[in-house]
Amino acid sequence: MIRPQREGPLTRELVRQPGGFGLGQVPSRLKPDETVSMVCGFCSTGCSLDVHLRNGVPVNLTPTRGYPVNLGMACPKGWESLRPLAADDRATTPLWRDARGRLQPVSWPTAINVFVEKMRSVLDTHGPESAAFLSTGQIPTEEMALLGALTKFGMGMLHGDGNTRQCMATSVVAYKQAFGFDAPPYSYADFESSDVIVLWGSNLCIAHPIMWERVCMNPHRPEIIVVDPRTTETAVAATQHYGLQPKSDLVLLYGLARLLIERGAVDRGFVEGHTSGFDEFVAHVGAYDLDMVSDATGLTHEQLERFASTIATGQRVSFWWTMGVNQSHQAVRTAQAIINLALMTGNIGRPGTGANSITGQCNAMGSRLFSNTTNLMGGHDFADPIHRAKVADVLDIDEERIPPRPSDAYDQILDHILEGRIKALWIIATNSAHSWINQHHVREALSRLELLVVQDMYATTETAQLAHLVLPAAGWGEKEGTFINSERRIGTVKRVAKAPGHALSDFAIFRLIAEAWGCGEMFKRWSTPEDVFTILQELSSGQPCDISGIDGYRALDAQGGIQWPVPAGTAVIDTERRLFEDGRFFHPDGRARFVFDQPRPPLERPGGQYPLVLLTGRASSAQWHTGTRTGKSALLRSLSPTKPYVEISPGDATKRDIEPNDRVVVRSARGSMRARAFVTANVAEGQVFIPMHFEETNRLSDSSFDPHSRQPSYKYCAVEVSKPEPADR
Amino acid sequence: MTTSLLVELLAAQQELTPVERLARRYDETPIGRAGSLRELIPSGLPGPGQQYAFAVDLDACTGCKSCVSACHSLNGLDADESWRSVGFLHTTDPGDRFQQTVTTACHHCVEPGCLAGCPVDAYEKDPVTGIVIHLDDQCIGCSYCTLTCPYEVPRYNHARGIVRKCDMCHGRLAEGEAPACAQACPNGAIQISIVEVADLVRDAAGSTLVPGAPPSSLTVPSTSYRTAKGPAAVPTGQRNAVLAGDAHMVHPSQAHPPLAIMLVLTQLSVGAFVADLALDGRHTLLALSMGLLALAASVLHLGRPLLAWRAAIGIRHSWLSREAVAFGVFAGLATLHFARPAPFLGWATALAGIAGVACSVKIYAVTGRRWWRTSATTARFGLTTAIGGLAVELSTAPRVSLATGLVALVVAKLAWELTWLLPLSSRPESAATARLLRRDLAPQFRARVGLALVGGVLLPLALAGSPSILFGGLMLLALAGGELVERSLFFTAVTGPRMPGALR
Repeated sequence: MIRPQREGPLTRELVRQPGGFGLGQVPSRLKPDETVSMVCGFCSTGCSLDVHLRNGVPVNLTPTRGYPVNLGMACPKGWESLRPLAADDRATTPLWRDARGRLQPVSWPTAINVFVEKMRSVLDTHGPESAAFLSTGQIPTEEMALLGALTKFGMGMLHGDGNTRQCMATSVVAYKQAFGFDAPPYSYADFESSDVIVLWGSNLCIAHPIMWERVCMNPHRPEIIVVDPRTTETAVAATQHYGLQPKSDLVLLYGLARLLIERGAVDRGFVEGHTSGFDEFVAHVGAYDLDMVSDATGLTHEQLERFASTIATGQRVSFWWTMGVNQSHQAVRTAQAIINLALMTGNIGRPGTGANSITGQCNAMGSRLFSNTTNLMGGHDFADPIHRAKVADVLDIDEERIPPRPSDAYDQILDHILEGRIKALWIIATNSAHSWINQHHVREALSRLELLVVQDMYATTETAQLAHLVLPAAGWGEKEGTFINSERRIGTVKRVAKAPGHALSDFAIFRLIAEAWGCGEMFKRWSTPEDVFTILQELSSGQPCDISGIDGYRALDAQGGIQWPVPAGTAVIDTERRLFEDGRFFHPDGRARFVFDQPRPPLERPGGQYPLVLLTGRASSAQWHTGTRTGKSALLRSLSPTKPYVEISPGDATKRDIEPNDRVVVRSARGSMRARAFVTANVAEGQVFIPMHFEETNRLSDSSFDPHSRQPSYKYCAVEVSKPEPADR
Repeated sequence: MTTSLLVELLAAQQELTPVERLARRYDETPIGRAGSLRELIPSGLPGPGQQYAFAVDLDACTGCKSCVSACHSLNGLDADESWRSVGFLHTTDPGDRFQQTVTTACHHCVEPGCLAGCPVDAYEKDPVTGIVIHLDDQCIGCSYCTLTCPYEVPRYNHARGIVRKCDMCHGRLAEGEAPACAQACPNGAIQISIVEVADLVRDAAGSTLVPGAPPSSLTVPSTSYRTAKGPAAVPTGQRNAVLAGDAHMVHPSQAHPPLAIMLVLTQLSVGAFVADLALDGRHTLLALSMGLLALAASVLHLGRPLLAWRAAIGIRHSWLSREAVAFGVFAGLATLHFARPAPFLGWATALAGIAGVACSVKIYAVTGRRWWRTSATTARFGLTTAIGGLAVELSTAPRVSLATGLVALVVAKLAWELTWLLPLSSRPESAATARLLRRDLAPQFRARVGLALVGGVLLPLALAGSPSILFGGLMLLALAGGELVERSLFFTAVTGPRMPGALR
């Protein structure tokens, strides 16, 4: 008998051996000689990842064990974090669009000179409102702070906003009005200690799988309630799913409040001691009886009763919301209606409770506090002269350089471009031409600019392709700084890989521009990200987000991240902390506010030519935003749908003679896209769903915004699905 | 601008964060054991009559796909390679809105199809753990295991010319460490359990792992999928409303051109030998050439052709080995017969060839795919053999009877093939094959019909009674071409039950 060949080069390729560093076995050829822990650069969960270095080169990556956020786990995006760095379409040199309309490589000095010359010419000619920037929740806090200070205090711009407008603006406004400060109160440990977990407009299993891990670790057999029009992965994993009519959330919340009042589930002591406006709220929700709420939401009386009774009998009820709430035409009031439920039942400030906004991007929370766009950096108010004086003092700048009003919002900046008032735009690490609502509108605006500068890791994004000037940026893993996650935990990112070609960190690019602009002196204290962290600590002093008690990056690493607040002199910093344990909120009177309003219908409603409601959302945990990074990993691509599809209910498909997997066209009043029909009962009749990651999806969406937060309402517009007509072929 | 700052920043960009900043404490608790709420792996080895198995808690699988990533990263696989995948089930019944993600990997079967089919014994089932291990350096890259495994587990790796598959991280298990996928599941949905082989065999009859999956009776998979809710818990017979996410996304399978060439040419060659014997023809050279060309094509099909000699190793269990041996003998006898023609050699050659064709039939029939079942494949390969025989004779002896016979066979085969477009059977795989042939593969199907009509009807009728070397040659070429396209459709239009997939 011939003995099979058990050894050889092919076998050796897959040999594993103990990796050291607490890793267990790793592939022998990738065994590290050093590991580095840093926070992930995709979503706001803020997982820590161990980058494996071999001879100074990152060769592999595993989730950090023992980090209080992810406990040794990561989603596929985190696991694949290193791949996008090695993509072959990285921008490696600045690019300038030549006379023939082609992007051509230029040197950094040329690029910076062009930038300064053109930007200054626009600002000098047309005034401080004629140039603006659009930033991101994807870069470290120190970088966004430098950008905000450079543009506003150094260059004299008035308007700048971030892609955080697309995800978190609603929660910011909701919290500020209700609590007196933008302060998500929770810790992830609350997922584990609740006996009732309400997930509102959140497909946690797909959007934040590692937070779902924490739900799964809850030992109390919690009731898990999901409120979502679709039967999502999370809805199926829940114990109760309420598939309400899209955008009937506010009515449902007011109806639940009325039911809770009727049942005597109100925590009178808490309400009287720590809130104001409850009596008016009681009067307001009086109109929301079962019949009315049932009509609006499509839920039965029994469902509504069961929902309310689950909250009423819960001892530790936590309420969590994400984009299903934030991306709505009445998002702020909806978020506040959730906050109201938590306040009235006393479900706040105790373990396992809270009105908890789950953030989107890895550093949306850093942006909320330090981007210097809507808020003066450090959670301050541009309109408040005392705040301006404090910031000017800390930064050692002339107070006059601080504008007395906040920036206009993203949508307003685009409108100003179309009106001809804004002529130059600087976009940093976001892909507006794909991601912003009503794509035709945004592309029209970008095409009218005299100067469009795009600063990104890739010159291939839809937006970079429209730019006059592309500045090549280093990415996560190629630079230092800090991120703040959903639970207010600050963690560090480090430089473990060399940036390709002449790509520079956003921080370095901002410094070059500051120097060339002639305001280098203003930023002499801003040499390194860690220097900036010290400045931000000073700025935060005395604020609810006070971080002055953190002993630099080293302390952040040693503690496994630190949640704010940490005022100077804090002796012991616990790993998991929540806000409002003393019942004191951030309004001057220490009381939380009940904020409420009359529900309004969405701007556009289904009917006539467009009888279906289009819902959008995530399709796969392996995709991030517009896919500029996740699309660079072959593995992540294999875990995501690559061809556009539309989920349609069997009833709606039959009415339109659409068979499963048929090619169809989805049309709205704005535009159309081709897709494959995925016929499934997971969407209700009258609704269709398309993942947000497809470039085409925002051809359909409607320019509708929450009036308070200016956040786009991505998840509701009117469409029709049909078989392609000859003209579509 | 000052260049000194630029130079400084560009230089700094190429420096890494200093190592002393990176020092940290490491968690030295065993992977996948302590610190977790769940025991992910058993504390001891399987006993006699037992084996290790993946135990999946579907209620905890919520589709994050971390298992796929971890398998890829912790095993050092290629950029797009992972030994785990995640699909989903859903319904089209609005009264029962439901979906379930399903993580799947190798099922470390009791009767592994990969192992049974492997012609070089590159698979082993560990006698203690029951883990099915692929010996990468033994593999010759014939890809046959990608057909005999009903679960699409072994994947051909083009860069290396071999297949690779899940080994349940046996080295990790031996050290008390959970497999990569199990240790990376945030929800503990994947565990390793010890199962009784006899229970697996008993439970395999008439069941599937999850709705829509291949019949477990084929290979007796060891994985268990548990769920306390949802239609996945309903017995197989009542699962009609549950669909795989990719149920309607049927794509053509791999074409395997060298295999199509090999199959058609061996059959034409065998047909020619048999026909020569029966009709006293003289086409040994042509038949031999086709046979040798077929063998060359079959070697070229291998990822590692230099190791083709290993193909006979699995003769005790692999139909591929038997086919290789039968056709090897056939080629040898045919060569002898060509060199020193003798009646007994002719008969021996024909018999070896017929045995080879029979092995070819079994190669595909044992995979459990309905499109390749014994009766249909026998008819298909048999008709090609008969058509080849008649056509070779007709090309030099244009007798009306031969032409009539040939046309009758070709028309019969074509008529049968046309029924695939509108299948009488309501089986989903027949419908899926029909859909492929009508849509994605329609051009090939039209070409197949066209070539058959030209080579199997028009030219034979033209030839009947008026000999022409040109027409004879054209007829053989057209017929062979038609059969080649048909055989390529044999591979590309095959469908069948599989583990639930995702939208792609």
